Amino acid sequence: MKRLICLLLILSLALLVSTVSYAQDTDPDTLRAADVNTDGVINILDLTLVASHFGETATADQSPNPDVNGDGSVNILDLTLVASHFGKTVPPPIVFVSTPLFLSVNPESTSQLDMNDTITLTFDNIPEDVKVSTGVAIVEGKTVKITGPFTQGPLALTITWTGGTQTLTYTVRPSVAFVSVDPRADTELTVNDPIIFTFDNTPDEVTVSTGVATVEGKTVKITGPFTPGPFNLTITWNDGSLTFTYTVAKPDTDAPDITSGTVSDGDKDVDPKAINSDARIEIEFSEAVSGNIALQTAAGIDIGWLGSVEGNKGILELVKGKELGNETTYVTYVIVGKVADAAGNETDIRITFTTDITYDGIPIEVSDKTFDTVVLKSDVPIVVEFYTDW
Amino acid sequence: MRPVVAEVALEYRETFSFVKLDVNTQREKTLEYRIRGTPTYIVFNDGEIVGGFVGAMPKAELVQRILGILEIEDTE
Repeated sequence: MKRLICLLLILSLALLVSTVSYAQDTDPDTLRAADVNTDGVINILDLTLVASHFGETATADQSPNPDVNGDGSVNILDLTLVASHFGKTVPPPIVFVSTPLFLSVNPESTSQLDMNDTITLTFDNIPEDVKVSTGVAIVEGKTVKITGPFTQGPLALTITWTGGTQTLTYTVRPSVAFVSVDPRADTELTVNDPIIFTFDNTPDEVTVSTGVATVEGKTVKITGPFTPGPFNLTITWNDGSLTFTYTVAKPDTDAPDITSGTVSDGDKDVDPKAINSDARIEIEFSEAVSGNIALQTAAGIDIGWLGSVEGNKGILELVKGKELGNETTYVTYVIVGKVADAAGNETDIRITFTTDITYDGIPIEVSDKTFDTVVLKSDVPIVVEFYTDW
Repeated sequence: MRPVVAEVALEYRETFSFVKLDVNTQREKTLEYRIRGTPTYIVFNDGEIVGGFVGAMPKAELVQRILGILEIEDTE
């Protein structure tokens, strides 16, 4: 019975409004509401849907929604609205699409780039029609990757997409290539020898597998101490990585020894004539050394000979007028100095020797100071004349 | 220098050495060896005093005294 009544209502309304429907306003929202089955046309199917729910309550989120006027109940007013627009087509809904927003970029703008770095931009939605002023842009979902190579120097990179544009600035570093290393690879080092790398430009982000790296312009100095034995040194910088092999020698901890010389420590009766004739005193060391050497009296007064250290020799050269001894008394001399080998091991030099008396039959004048040395230490009998000159 | 001493020193240079000390300027050794007059001669052998005598004398006597103290026979 209810259905029959509805059907009659529908038919009567359809006939009633069919003649006036074209005169009504065609508010798009009203039309969409009247298109109950959302098929784009307001027709008998929409009237039937409303009629089938006639007398019911309805909610806003119901689909299909027979409550055309949205008053919460399906009634004659809803049927009237559908009927008043009977036969009309409904415009498609306006879909609002949000413009993708730029969220972030890595590396950050104003930072430094390498020529082959990739710049990655992130959006809140997938950007379309992406274009960049430099490089190549690849859209991967909500990210855009821009690859170079970029030209060394300042870079202003503009990226545009549908609905937006963004300009980023960078400084593109030059490429850095390895030039040389000192000492050469496959050679021997000492524990504390530095290894110096040279590049054609200043390298950045330098790391080494062993030691400490110090960047000084285009060079990188690697300092140890390194562990004795073979080792591989890997150096990595912003543009590359290289590995070199070295062997670290055991550290030299032996101080240089005095192996021989014109005189030895403790020598007595050294003939000063022979040394004066040679005009030099030589000392030989067990290895090459550097340092200083001098000839002094026992009291520490420099005699004035020229001392030098070269290779594994220490040399004292006679200066005219500074000959050894006075040929009338014993004289004690001391060769003093300090030398060190390449590893820094030091040796103090102290060679004490005493020259002999050369007695030629002329009485030797002695003093209070030389009396004991000349008289009491003599190997031959001595006659002392205590005299006075009037 | 007294000629006698110079001659003896030169002539016997292979047997003994002659040294001399000025008592006016070298007071320390002069006092140490209690020198009362000049010339005074003290003979040392191996660092020890083996004898001595005082006074100027002819060459032959000087030689004889020294060699006598050293118990050396004169071969000159």
